Amino acid sequence: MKFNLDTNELFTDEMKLIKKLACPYHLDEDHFEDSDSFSKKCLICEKKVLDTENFSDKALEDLIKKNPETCLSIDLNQKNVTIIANTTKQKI
Amino acid sequence: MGLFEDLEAINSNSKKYRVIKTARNIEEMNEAARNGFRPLVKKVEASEKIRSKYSIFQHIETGEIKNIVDAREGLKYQRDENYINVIERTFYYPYNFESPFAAYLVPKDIEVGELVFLEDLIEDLVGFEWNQGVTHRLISCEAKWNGESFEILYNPKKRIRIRG
Repeated sequence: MKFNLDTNELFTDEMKLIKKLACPYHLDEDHFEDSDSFSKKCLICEKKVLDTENFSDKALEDLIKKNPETCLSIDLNQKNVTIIANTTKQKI
Repeated sequence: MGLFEDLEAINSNSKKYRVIKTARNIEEMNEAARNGFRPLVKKVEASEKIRSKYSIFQHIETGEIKNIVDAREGLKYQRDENYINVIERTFYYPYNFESPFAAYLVPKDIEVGELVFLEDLIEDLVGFEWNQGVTHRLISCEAKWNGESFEILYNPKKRIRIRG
């Protein structure tokens, strides 16, 4: 997978968009509790947040197609994700 | 600080405070002044703490280039005999501002101690940090009006996990 730090978009290695991550809350670890080995439960939304470290590109793509509202979690240092970014300066 | 109090202190307007707009050019500032707002003008100053990075690899035969941000991917290209590193890892300031000054548009009826939401922060504060040295600026934030300026209510924390 590839994750664009500037746009918060998660892609497959072939640059097919999986999902744009857009949580309105910038939560810390304290806001989650263990749910199962693949996810944590958000204490704000009470939704499961899937840890993408355990998924292949294809599995994640299929999962999001079936349920686009699924919350995902990405650690920028996890092994199956490469970080990409835009180099065009953002206009403010 | 409890869970929901903590949430109020982050950069989403979860408590629905009054939104304070920012003018990024003189025309907007003067128009706001004519419409009853007081432009609180501030310098737009880039923080040295905010930076992004790039590293350019070029294919020896085709000449095509790759922009590599992640050091782990950079290692792969360094080991690939088909690529050479034409620009080594370079940090840069990733934002461009319309004007070197900007203004918060303060409503005339604002009260001392009022909590507000600054929609477009002028101050350059770190909102996100990745441990490979990349930091992004905080876009919006809650603040308190002290009669002269806004006291920004933000407690920066290092974040390497993104959710949504």
